[in-house]
Amino acid sequence: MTTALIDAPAIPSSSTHEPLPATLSSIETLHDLYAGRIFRFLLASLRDRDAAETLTQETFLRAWTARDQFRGDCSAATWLTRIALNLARDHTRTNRFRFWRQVAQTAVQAEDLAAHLPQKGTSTEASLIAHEQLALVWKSVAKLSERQRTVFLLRFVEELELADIATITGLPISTVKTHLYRSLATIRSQHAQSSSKTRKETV
Amino acid sequence: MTPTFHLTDQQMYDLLQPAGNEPAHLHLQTCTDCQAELTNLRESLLNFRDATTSLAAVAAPRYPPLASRAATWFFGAKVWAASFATATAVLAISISVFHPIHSRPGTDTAATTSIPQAALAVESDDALLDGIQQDLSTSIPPSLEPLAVPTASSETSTQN
Repeated sequence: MTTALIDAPAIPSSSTHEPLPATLSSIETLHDLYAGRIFRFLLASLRDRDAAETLTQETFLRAWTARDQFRGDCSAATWLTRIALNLARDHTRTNRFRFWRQVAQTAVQAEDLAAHLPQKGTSTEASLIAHEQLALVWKSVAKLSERQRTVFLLRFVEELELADIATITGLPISTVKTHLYRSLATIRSQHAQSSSKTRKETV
Repeated sequence: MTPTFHLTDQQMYDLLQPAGNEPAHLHLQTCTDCQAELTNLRESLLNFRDATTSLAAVAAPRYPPLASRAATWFFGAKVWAASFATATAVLAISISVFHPIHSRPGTDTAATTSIPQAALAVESDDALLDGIQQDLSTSIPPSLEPLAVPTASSETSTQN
């Protein structure tokens, strides 16, 4: 069993299979616990604040209306993420999204993300390197196929276990691994190209 | 130029996990290129995750709790229903005031121009009422008919 790369924020573990509460107060708790996580996944997937916000609300609305169908064979977080993923897929398949994505004022750019880089190093050089690394990953993720991107984000941003990713995407674990290796290959390739370019410029 | 990798993608993925990969670890001890690449990759992924989390935390909308939203909706629905009922009542009253259904004799100026029709209507109304009265009278069984005036019977008895 793999473990998380980084310590997860104060979000309950997705591995715990807690039953979905049926009362309004419990769905409120569910929303308070997972809304941030679902929003983050949708924001990273769609790269649009408005769309992420709308679909986050839609996710909880769908969950609330379909709560009777929840069998409890996976965690509430996994179930919610699966709903969010389906909504995101429906959203990205519409022509409206493709058009508005180009001009949306709420679209997230690499610079927006760079502004939120943690200030670990104090030196300008360390900061520049971090910005470059982030831009490379950002660019690489954009090049991934829809499934590769989903699997990559679920593993490296949401830090979900492979079994949970398989449940959310409806793919076998072996396919999930294949998508992860391919996404990593794309990122490695981008990094390698960037490194060779930097070397050429310095020589 | 096609980049050359010392470690496969799978090995690199395994190395990114805390558990790691034994053969990959052995290679890593002797290969500075792969060490540098792994460090670079790990930092990049960490930065990406941290920045995404931070951005999402800032960009996330601040929703009121669901229960209060539901209460707001319910209260709003009640207010809306009350407003609708009031508007309907006002509309009904205004229609009845400004557009009377039955014209009142003597107040309607148009009635003076159509006296024969009005007279006919009154006549037919009287005939209708008479008919109803007749029907009711015939449908009453003899046992339920009004009793005879007692004074009349006493008069006949005294006459005998």
